[in-house]
Parts: sequence; C-alpha cells; structure tokens
Amino acid sequence: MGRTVSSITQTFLKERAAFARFRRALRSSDQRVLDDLFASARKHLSAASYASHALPFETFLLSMLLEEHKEIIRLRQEVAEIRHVIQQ
Amino acid sequence: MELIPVPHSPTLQLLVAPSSFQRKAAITFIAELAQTGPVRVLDGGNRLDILSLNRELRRKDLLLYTALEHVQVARAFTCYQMTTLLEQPAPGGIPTLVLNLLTTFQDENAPLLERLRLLETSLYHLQKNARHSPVLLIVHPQPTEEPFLARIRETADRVWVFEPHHPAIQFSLF
Amino acid sequence: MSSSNELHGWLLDIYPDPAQGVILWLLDEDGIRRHRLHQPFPTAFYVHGDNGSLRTLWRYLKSLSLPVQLSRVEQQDLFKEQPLPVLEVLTETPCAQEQLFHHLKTSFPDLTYYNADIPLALRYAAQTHTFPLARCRVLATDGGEIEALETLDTPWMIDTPPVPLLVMVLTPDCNPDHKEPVELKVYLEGKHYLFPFKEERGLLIKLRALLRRYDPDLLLTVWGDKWLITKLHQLMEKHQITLPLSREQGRGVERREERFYHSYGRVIYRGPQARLFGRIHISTENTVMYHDYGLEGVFEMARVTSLRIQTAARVSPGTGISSMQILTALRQGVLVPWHKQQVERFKTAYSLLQADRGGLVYQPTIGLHSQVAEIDFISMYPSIMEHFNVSPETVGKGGANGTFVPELEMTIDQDHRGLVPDTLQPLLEKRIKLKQALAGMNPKDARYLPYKAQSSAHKWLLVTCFGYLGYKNARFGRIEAHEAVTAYGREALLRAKEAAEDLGYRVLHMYVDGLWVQKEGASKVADFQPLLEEILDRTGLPISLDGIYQWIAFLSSRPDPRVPVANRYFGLFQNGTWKVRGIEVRRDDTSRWVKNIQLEMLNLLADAPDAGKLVEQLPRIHTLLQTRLAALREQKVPLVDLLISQKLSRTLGEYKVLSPAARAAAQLEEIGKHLIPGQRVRFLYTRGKPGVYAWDLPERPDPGAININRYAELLCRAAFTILQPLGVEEQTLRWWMFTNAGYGAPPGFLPDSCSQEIPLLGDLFSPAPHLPPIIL
Repeated sequence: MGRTVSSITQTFLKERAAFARFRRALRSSDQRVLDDLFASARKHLSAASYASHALPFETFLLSMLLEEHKEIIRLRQEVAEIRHVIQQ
Repeated sequence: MELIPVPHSPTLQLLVAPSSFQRKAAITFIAELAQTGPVRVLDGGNRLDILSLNRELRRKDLLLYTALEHVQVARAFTCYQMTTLLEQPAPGGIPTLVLNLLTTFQDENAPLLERLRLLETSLYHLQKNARHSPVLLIVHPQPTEEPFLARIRETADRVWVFEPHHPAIQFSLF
Repeated sequence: MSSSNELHGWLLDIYPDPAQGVILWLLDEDGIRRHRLHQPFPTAFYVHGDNGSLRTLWRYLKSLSLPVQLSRVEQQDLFKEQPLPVLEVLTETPCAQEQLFHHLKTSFPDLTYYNADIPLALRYAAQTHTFPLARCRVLATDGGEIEALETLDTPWMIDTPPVPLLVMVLTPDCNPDHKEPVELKVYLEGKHYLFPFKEERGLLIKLRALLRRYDPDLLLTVWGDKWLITKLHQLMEKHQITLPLSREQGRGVERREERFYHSYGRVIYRGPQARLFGRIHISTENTVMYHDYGLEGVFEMARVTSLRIQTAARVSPGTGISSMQILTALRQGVLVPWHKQQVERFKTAYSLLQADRGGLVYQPTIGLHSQVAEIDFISMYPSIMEHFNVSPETVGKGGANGTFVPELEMTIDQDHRGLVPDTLQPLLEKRIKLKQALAGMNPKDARYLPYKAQSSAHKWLLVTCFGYLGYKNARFGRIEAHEAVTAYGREALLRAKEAAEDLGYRVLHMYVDGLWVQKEGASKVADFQPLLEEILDRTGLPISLDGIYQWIAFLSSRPDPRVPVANRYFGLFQNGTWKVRGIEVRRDDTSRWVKNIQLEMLNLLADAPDAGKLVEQLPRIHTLLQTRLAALREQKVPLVDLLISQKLSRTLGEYKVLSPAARAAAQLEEIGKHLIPGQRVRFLYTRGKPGVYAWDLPERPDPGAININRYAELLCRAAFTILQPLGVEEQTLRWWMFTNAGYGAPPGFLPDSCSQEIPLLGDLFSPAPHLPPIIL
C-alpha cells in the first residue's frame, strides 16, 4: 500500500530524460561531461530521497556541485603535494 | 484547462478522458484551485503525481509550499475505503476532486453485487456533497468499468467527454 | 452419572462439530493413547447499525425461530473512543454461528459485522489459552465431555520438550506434474514400504491396515494436496474401500479448490488443499516455506498463531500475523471487524510527499574495503512498533504523553498500549532469546536445528507484520501507522550514522536496517562495542554486530561503473564465511557451471591472508579461468551444468520480441507442453537460430551445437564482477580469457590506504586511474 509518490530513482531518471534533447544537441565530448554530472548526482540519491524536496531537481543540482567541489579539493591537495615535492 | 471551467459552484461534474489527458487535467485543476484556497483530493488510483503538481505550481509562479498546504489528499485502496471517504462532507464547501473513482471498484476480491451496492452509496454521498460544494470526478474508464460509468453519468449534473486523439497521417520528411 | 477423569497430554487438533460444539484431540502424555474430547461452545457475533436496521434484523431473527439469544450490549471498537451499542447474536455452536452469519451478510449487507468470521481455534484459544501442541490438564467425563481444561505452558517458552508424534510419510516416486507416478513410498516407525499404484486394491488394503494398526498423528505427504489425496479418493470410490484418512470416524477429507487471487497487481496461485480431522495432514509442496523451516517451523507457526497445525502450515505469514492480532483483540475484549473500515486521514500534499517513502537505502562507497563491521538493528520495523507504540489505533492521537513521529506531522498516543505492539512483544522477546541462545551454540547441539527453525518461522511473521500494517485489507491496519514505522526507521538509521561518525567511524554503506562501518585500527568485536552501545543509547532499539569482514567489495552498476548499487556486494567475514548479495552466484538464472567457477574464484581469494594480498591470487584465478574455458571448448562440461532457468514474464503472445526463455517455451508449446507466466523454463544456448534449446524437449541436444562463445561471455561477466574491485579492467580480463596473453604482473595495484574510491572523472581526464582517494 502507499507508494503514490514515485521513488527517488524514478524521479531522477525522469528529470534526466527531460534533458534528452539538450544532451542530443551537445558535442559528444560535452555529452560525456554531462553524463558525468548526472552520474555524480546519482551518488547522493539517498540523501535526496531523505530530503524529499518539493522540487527534487534542485537537490540533484546541489549533489553535482558537491561532487565538483570534492574534486576541486582533491586537485588542490594534489597541487600542494606536487609543489611540496618540487620545492624539496 | 482552458476547455473546461474550473469548478467553483456546487455541482457534480464528470470528466471522462484518456489516461494521459486526465492526469494532466487533474494536475491543472488542483494547481488552479490550490492557488485560491483549500481543495480536497480523493485518489482511488494511487497515482496523484505530486512532483508534476509541484512543477505546475512553479510554472504558474505560485507560492509552492503555501499551495501544497492547500491540497488535502486522502487515498482509497479498496471500494470500501472509497465509500467511507466519500461519506465525509467537505468542510466549508471547499471543492473536491475525485481521481480514478472506478479503479477501486474493479477489485475482483469483492463480489460484483457488493461493489454495485457500494457504488450506489458512493453516488448518494457525492450528490449530497455536491449540494454544498463543487465536486469533480475525473476518470479514464477501462472497458470493464462501463456499467459503473453509466451509473455515474446518470448521476452527474454535467459530463465532459474527451476522445483519444487520432493523429492525422504524417508525410515523412525523406 | 459419569465420573471425572483427569487427563494430561498435548493438544493435537481442534475443530467444530454441529452437534457437540467443539472437538479436541489430545495425545496422552503416555505417548500411546489419543483422546477424542468434546465441549459445548456457544458462539456469539455482533452487529452494528442504525436503530431502525437493527430493529428490522431483530424481528427477522425472531421470525426464523432459531435457537439464538439476542441482546443489546456495548462492546469496544478499537477505533472508537466510546463503547459501541451492538446487537449480540449468541448461537449454540460455532457451526450454527457460521451458517447464520453467512445468511445475514447477504440479506443485510449494509450492517457492520464483528467477530463474525473468526476460526474456532482462535475463539477457543482466546477463552482457554490453549494452542496447538500445548500441554494440557483436562477433567472429562467418561463420555469425553470436557469439564475443565487448563493449559500448562505458553507458546513463548523456548525449551518445549518434543511431542512424541507418530508420523507417516507418503511420497509418490516422481512429480505427478511430469509423469504418472508408479509407486507409493511409505515410511513409518523406521520401516519402509513400497506399494505399486497399479495394484489398486492391494494398495488400499495395505494402506488401510497400516493406518489402522499404527493410527499415525501426522501424515506428511509430498504432492498430497495437489495429487495424492485425490488419487487415493478415486481409488477408494472405484473399489469401495474406505481409508481412515481422518481419525474422526465418518469425517472424510475437507477439500478446498485451487484458486487465483490478485495481490499488489500480481496473480497469486493457491493450490488445492486436503485437510483431515483429528489427524494432521501436511503436504510439503503446499506448506508455505516448508523448505525453509520444516516440520518444526510449522509447529512453531501453529504455536504462536494458535491456528490449527494444518491451517498454520498452509496460510501466508500475513494471515499468521492477522490471527495473532485477532487473538489479542479477543482477549482484550475488543471487537474484530469483518471488513476493514479505516481510511486514510486527509493530509496535505506536502505531508504526503514526506510520508510516502520507504526505508533509507544508501549508495555504498564502491570498491574494496578491509576490516568492516556490519551492524544490524534486530527486527527493526517490529521493534519500532513495539518500542514506540505504533499501532493503527494509536497513530494520529496525542494524549497527555503523546510522542511526535520524526519528519511527519503526526503524534502517537503513549497512554494506551497499542494492539499491534502488544501482539508483537512476546514474539520479539522470544526471537531475541533464541538469537542469543543460538549465538554461542555449537551447531551439533540437539537444540540448534529446532531453534533455527523456530527463529525462521518468527522471522517470516515479523517481516510480514510491517507490510501487513499498511495492507489494504488488514483488519487492524492503517496507512499512517505504516508511514510512522518507516519514518522512525529512517531516523534510527541516521542516528546510527551520526553516532558512528561522532565516534570516528567511517560509514561505507547503509541499507534500511543495517550499516557497514570502518575505523583505523578497529578489527575486533570489542572495538565496535562502544558504537553498539552508543547506537542503542541514541535510538532505544536493539542492535547487534552481524560480523566483521576481513574485506568486502561494494560493486557498481553493470552498465555504468560510476554508479553504485545498494545491494550488490561480496565480503569475507573474519570467521571465513561469505556474505554475497546480488551477484551471479546468487541469481536463479545463472548456469551451474558459471556459479561453480565464481565460487571457486571466491575460494581462491579466501586463501589470501588479507585484503592487501588479494592480487597475489590473480595468477591462480587466471589459470582457473583458462582451464575451465578449455573444458568448455572440449565439450567436457556436462550439459546439465550449462542449463539456464528463467521465468516466463508473460504469455507467448504478449512478447513483442521473444526472449531466449520465450523461444524455449515456444519449442515446448510446439510439442504440446504449455507453460504459463510465472513458470520457469530450462534451456541451453545453442549456435545459429533460434539460439536456444529447451531442456524439456524429448531429445537431448547435440553437445556440438552448444554456443561456446555465449557461455564464455557469461563466464567473463561473472569473473569481471569478482575481479573489478581488485583493479582488473574488463579489457585486461578479456585478454586473459580470450587471447593467449599470459599473466604478467598485477594489473594496477591496491592503494596503501584501506579503501579505494573510484575517481569519478578519472577515466576522462586522467590516464592513471589510481590516484590516492580523497575522502571527505
């Protein structure tokens, strides 16, 4: 019983599908990057589900940002390490 | 729905439409009514798409959370539950939308005579409610639901029927 | 004037009798005598409605001149504040009650009926506290009429001495679905008999002699409900020989036809049933979860539900839970409605968005992790109901001490104990007692198997009781209660996560009622004890350490390696046992050949002393794969090991594109073997068209026709599942398997830190994917 509200995975797939035309018109190299962004949103579906935001796409955007920022921190750290090695 | 006026006066209206259209119609009506005040939604098909409703509210540039608070939902999963829900009068004459009324009456675990009896009880309460508040039934009937639908048509004050759209032959590009 | 006899023994069976009320069969404590006892049992039901309708009903009942007593009384409806004025209809026997109600429900359909369709076993249990196989002390007249009955134990004790039941096993020599059985095998008292079906008279006479001589308490049959009892009946009619199948003279076999019903949009098939009187008939193919818990589990199901053993064996766990709730209601004097009437309360669309969700399922951190503890809430949902008093009649009510459900605008009454928590409490306590007893027990201990079986029976009841709370036809169900349980479940899991992170553990994965955690330096049970205590403290729910993995691999989705999948992993516990979910070896549609090789691979990995040394097993795995592939190419693999078994998802006509299973079913259709959706079809992949060969065709296929490449590909996928977390890329694996490339050096390396996350954009921008991970 219940299950009137569609699951977070269904919602995600629907939102992603809504951008199919946008994706199709991108260059294939850009398509791959876009796919990566959606894949990173997928990493936080459970948090998005728990949030049950009225407009879930906002949560997906935030998840993409979160993963992007993680990557920036990782790269920063790496640059610092390389710098450290060079300076020695 | 520019084609049908949003129900504001006490009447019992019936909208019969193909599946995709009736879902869109339901969302549009709810969004429209929630803009101005409370609205009751009785869902017999377990398929009220709240996320589409949210998008519709945003499209209309409405206060999303206020509108969502206006929408009062209850779901029925059996014809017994549907009948019990319909017995509850709408407080203060607020409009009521009933979605997929007939779905719960297709449950073969209940005998046909019992289901028809419950339908009559439901119709009685729908009419009673419609004397004080607008009531709109939105259905997309399956072939097996015809005898049930016929009874609802007889009871409704106004009936809107939308036929499925048969696309014209398209010439191919190449 | 008859004198009283005092009897001691076990309750075997109970059923209604039109003249004598209720019949009880008692197995005497001497293990030899069986007593048929009876007792008058006046039975009441209740009717509610407006005054006019009730008056009409009253007059109607009076006009029937039946021996019934009518009175206006007040009774408690679970969902009403005040007692409800109802008409009590008291009949002389349970049989009369059943008949009268059957008549009234069609003549007066608008009235509300209570206590109208309750099995006699439950009514009797409510009054006397009996249950199947309970030890009883009975005072009875010489004529067998019960004057007093006392139940000496409860269903909640864990060490019930075994009941000396005499069991007769009857099995046809083959599955009657496939071909007509030739012989009937009979096992009894350590003896073994074979009766050919073609000697019809002889079979009946010999079987009758055995039944008369031994008078078994229980007939355990294979295909009994479906075939054997019907077959015996046909023979009995043909030869005019009556077998005393039932112990009660004059009562034959109670038969129920097979039926279909719809549940959650699926068609459920219930086979025909054949029940006996005074003797128990259990038909293994029709006993729910027989393969899971055996006779001991069936007995436990009957003990805790109080249903007749034959009934308990054949009902779903949902009916079991419902029976337990009915019994609680009867004992509390609460009315049991015939139909569910509770409807969802109106809630705002925003609340619905919040409430209509299930348990929390996380995306695990993909990759290989070592020294990981799995921590589970014990029977999480039932524990929540018990601990937070979640029950259909308590949700949405405040009271002086009402509690708020997290996330939802809902309160729960804490002043009155709910019907559902009250029902579950002893069951949960017994389950935890068994779990504790089993934890330290040697599997050779005589108590081990019975405990396991009991525990399994409880597990099914407890798993079901949550779903049942939200089931549309549940008498004591309410969707809000269902929503409250999942809300508490999400809250508990998040509190557990917070507790873990606060204590310095890293949470790798969470799945509804369990979490996987890791901490530098933590590898022993004691290292995780503080976390268990902290979680218990923060949630109030019982929690246990399921085990510590030496290492565990969380896998990604097959189509997209960047996307984690919640329930696809394999891990090796420190005690050497595996826990494997969602991979080929667990799937029903994997061939035995592939399953075995995947298991062999896992066993090779188990030889590695720790996660860091796993790659050292790669040369042995490489050799294994090459050897098995060579055997496949040389047609040395038995065909039966290559069988694929898949379910038909629809009828043949409904397929737009025929799946391999559908093509195999079509081959069977051509020779007149018809399969229906839901049935399995077994086939081999063959070369050319149609690409499959149905195993149940009369001829065996030519081993040369086997599609070697298809099987090699299936093996490659299964091998990749295991090797991917070790850093082996799919292309590398293909080189190993399908070219003559020898194994040189480990492909890549395992990082020094204990976990590895696959970098998200790694494949795009970085040629070397093995950068140290950043864990935030």
